[in-house]
Amino acid sequence: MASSIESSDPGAPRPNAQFTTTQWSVVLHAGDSLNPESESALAELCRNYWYPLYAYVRHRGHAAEDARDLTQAFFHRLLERKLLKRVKREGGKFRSYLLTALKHFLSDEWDRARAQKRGGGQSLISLDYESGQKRYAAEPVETRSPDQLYERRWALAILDKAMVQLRQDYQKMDKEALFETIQEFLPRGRSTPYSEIAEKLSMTESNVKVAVHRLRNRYRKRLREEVSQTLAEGEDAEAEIRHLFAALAGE
Amino acid sequence: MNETSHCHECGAALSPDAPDGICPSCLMQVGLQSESNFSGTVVVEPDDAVDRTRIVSRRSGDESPVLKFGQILGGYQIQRLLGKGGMGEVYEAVETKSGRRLALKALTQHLDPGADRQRFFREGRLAASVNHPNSVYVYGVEEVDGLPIITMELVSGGTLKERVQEKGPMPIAEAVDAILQIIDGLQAAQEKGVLHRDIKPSNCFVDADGRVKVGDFGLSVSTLNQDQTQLTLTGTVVGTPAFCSPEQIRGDELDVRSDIYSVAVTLYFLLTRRAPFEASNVVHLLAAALENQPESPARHRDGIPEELVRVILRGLAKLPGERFRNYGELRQALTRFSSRALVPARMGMRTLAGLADNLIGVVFFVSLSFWIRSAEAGMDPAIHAVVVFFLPLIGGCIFSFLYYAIPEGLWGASPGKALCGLSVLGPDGEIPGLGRASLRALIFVIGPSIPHLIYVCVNPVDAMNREGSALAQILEISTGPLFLLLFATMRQRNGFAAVHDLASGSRVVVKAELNRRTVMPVADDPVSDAESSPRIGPYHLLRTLGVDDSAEMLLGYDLRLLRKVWIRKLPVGSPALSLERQSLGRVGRLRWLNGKRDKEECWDAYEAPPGQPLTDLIQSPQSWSVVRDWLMDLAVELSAAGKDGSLLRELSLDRVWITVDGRAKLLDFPAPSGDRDSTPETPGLDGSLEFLKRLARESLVESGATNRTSGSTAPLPLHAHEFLQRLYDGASLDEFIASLDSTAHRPTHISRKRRFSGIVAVALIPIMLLSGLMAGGWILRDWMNRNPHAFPMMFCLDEVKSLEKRNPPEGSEDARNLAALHVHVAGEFGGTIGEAGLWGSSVWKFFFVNHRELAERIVQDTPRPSEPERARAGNRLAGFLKMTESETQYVLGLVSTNQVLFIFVFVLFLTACLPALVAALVFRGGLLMHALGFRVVTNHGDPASTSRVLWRAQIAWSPILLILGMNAALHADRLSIRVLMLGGQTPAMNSISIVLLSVFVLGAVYAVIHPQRSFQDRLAGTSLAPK
Repeated sequence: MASSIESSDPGAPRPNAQFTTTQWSVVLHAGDSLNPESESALAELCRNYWYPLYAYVRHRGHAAEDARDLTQAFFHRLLERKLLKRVKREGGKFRSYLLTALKHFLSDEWDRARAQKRGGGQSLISLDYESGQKRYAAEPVETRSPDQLYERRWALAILDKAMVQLRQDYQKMDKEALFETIQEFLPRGRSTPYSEIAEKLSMTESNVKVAVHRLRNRYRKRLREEVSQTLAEGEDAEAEIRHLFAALAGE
Repeated sequence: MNETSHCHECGAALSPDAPDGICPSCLMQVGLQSESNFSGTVVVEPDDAVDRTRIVSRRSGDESPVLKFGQILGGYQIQRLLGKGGMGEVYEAVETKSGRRLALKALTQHLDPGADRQRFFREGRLAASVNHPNSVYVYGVEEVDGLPIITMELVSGGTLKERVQEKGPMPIAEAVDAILQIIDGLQAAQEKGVLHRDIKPSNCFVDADGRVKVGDFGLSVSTLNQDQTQLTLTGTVVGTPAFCSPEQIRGDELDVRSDIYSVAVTLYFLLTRRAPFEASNVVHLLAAALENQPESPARHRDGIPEELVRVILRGLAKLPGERFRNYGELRQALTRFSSRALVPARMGMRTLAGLADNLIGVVFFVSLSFWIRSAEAGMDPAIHAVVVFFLPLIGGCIFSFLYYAIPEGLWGASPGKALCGLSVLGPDGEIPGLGRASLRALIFVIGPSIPHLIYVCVNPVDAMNREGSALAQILEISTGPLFLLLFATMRQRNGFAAVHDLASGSRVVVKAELNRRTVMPVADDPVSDAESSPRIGPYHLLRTLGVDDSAEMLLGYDLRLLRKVWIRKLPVGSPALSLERQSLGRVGRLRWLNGKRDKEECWDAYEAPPGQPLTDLIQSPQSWSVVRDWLMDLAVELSAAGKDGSLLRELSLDRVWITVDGRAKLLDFPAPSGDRDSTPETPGLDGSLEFLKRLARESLVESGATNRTSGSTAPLPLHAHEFLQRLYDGASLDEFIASLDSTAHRPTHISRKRRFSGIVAVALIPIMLLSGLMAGGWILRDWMNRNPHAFPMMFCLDEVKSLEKRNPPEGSEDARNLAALHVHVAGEFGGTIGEAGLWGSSVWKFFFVNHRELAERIVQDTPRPSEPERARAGNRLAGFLKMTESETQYVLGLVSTNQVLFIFVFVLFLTACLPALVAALVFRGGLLMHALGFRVVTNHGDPASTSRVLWRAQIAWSPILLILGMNAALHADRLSIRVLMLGGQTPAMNSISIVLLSVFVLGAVYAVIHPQRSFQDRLAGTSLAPK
């Protein structure tokens, strides 16, 4: 029974998801040429990971308004591929690529971009700056460097994205309630005894254990998938997760 | 901060941005766990048993790591177990304060807590005293909750042991490269008085750039303070048995030669994937290591050059005295097998080698033809023809084939190549072996003659006929162009491979000297009384080095690690360094060690490598070899920094530090105690290049200008000059590096040895010709002794001719002399002249061909003069005959000193001076100079003009030209080659000639002593520079 649910699970990641071409490698492969597929892959990546960049710009001392324009202008130039050419050697990870590109942009492209038209005046990617600003304002005052914070926020963005995907997986299976209840078991430490949950969901304790086990497996898959999307083909997701873990460790 | 919840798992405070209120660290950790293993630890496979067995016993049993994943230990969070070594376990950890990843070694196993703790800290201190790119860097030692730990640089690429186990034995050059780096690291340790005592492949780490670093100084001892050795448990052996030297196994006192033994075992392992001694248990292993002779590594792997085998076996000698005495000797023995040392040989050197080989070939052919000539007499004409034609052809082919195939196959070089320092190597840098060498020789020797040989085989009779068909001649001549065609494939990108190189998979290489970095000695100021000085963080302040921009530079001292640090004290509120900067471990930058940001103090501590500021060094001009290394270091650093975003805010010459071992490091701040550079560059591509150009200019060209008059700096090699000129046309940083790298093997100066060989080569042909002439003279003298009449007769006949030409009137003195000569010739030489076969002999023909008619006429006119007639004629001609006698004696004494001198001068003029002058005019330098890669340059480093090169050549050859000129002037009336060759016979002329020749020889000696600027260079305002 359980296995049939697993196999018909529409939200579960495809078993070979990590072997398919990642979004970032689509962008890398496209090189300087424009093609709709890489275009949308890059846009998608930008949509998912704009916040760490925005926060980085803010942290560098730009006001909210300016930071928004800068981020938008940055994406604008990124999609125009003008920056891509410049930092193409970077290869490797989308995370480090974005930051390097942004640094270049901030140091020498910004003046030119501002002189042109403040990011072209139009938004290529619609980003929820309102919430971004709120989120930024809510962040604790930091003593760490912008680079460290960028890494940390990137890690959080990845975790967040994976969590959203996971939630959607459970929604598609109509198991949102189960998800909400056992979500806290994702990390290994648990505050609530299984028995309590079992009672709450009217399941046996061992069923809860199985459900938690699956939850973790699904989350792991989602997380790895998300991480892989930002890596070039053949790069080690494990190493990247380790790196992000280290970035988070600076608590 | 408002009320924050805490993570149940790791206890960390939950920040408001945690996704769904779950601890992000723990969430991320979920992603790390493998599907089946939920234990959260990475299991490290144990090494193979023999390698693992240390004779110092561990507390047995528990193999699981003591520290757990995610565990917080002081300021570090444990990530995973990397391995076990020395006395503890090594983990990958994150420094929570900075996020920097590092290796953390914890003393987790010990026999005697007190002593082991001391020993453990000593390890940290010893390792920390070694700051070298080929040694794992130690950040610090500390004790957390009673657990002693050492934090070290994290080297990401695994160990050499893993490399060999995963990919099999290493290619020879790669293995030697790795060992050379290990030697560099160990030598740096040795200079600090540290013996490693546990060198083995699993203690040699490879970083992401492929750099090999020696790590795990767990068993190392300081040689400076002998009583510390007692810390090693008495009576026990430390080290890993398979890699231990015999004296280490015995527990004798050790010195650097014990480490050298272990290095040799390591090399053995890298090449063969096994140690020289292997056994199923430790006791057998130790017995074998103590008693048995090691098997040659060549038994386990083909293609290891014999000389390399000898190097390894010498390193493995049982007695330390039979090994290399120090790392310098070992390095010298190994460098020629390194990939960096194998530079493709260019056409010039190969041509020289070819000429040398041909010279040897010519000797063979001459002896072969002599043998044939001596054997030809009395041979059947048909056989004779076959012998005369086929023996040289076939014999020559076989000789040439064997001549190349055997020495190249067995020793890697034909005699000519060996003479020119070239070798032939197979694809893995090994000696090619007979198979490959035979293929090479076959193509090289037989290939060009194939069309002709086919013709000979098809039409042997026609071919044997000297005046054979036009086709035969064309085919015979075609050998030359076909031979040249073999070399048409030579390109820089294929390592200058000719057809026979490509077909046999071999290459001809030059054994280049590996340029060791020039050591830049600095005075080391001793540290006194650090303990009582004030502290900043964990460091004791020694003194203030200076104040710049907004920060104060301080010299600090780390009492635990006994090393100096630079501390940069910043205004409160300064931002922290980026994680990338903190984690930066590249050779081109300073390592960040520690730092603090709070309301009271803001500072960063960096390593303080011994050295001096660049701005101090370039006060005096620096040589190209030194500047090239700096440019390379900085360009590589700038390129890497551009890629990972760790670029400096500004680049300037005062932010370059030159370490004692000659490496350039980019500083994040102006160098302490250096001059200020007023024109900083902004980073980025243009700024970086501009910066490098300026560095090159200021260290070489401009400083060189002040020195030009004294001429003490070597001229820039032409390639360096061109490289610097090209710089101004703009290039990318990577192009810069590639371009600079391509000059790495080019000679930076002309060595005395090379200049000497050039001069010897110039003198070689004249000397050989002179020897030939002397040999000819000897043969002639021999002939004259056997034919005593020949020369007196020739003089008489000459005199007859000249008298007859004057047509003297009857009764005159001349007429009477003429008559007397007739009588004398007929009387003395009548018999000789009448001999039938005489005029046919070749020497006779050569000397008397014009005299035969005259001689026969005289004999006819004056048949058999009487005794009194002859006596009268003799009396009359007494004076002349006396002169004849002395002339004959003179010819017989052709080999007397003066004559040799004049002949030598003449031959030198013909074969060396004249070609040199012509070549100067046509090629701007002698052909030999071109072949050896010498170029004449002006003081500005540009190639010298034709007229200047010609002027220079004239100066060099002026003594020779003067001798010949004086000789010619003295004998202007009877000028002939013979006169020029035999010289004037006046003592004055002789002594002047000797003086001039001595000047010439002295000039050559001076040129060898000052290879860059010989006497002629000083006068012509030129220098010799490598191409």
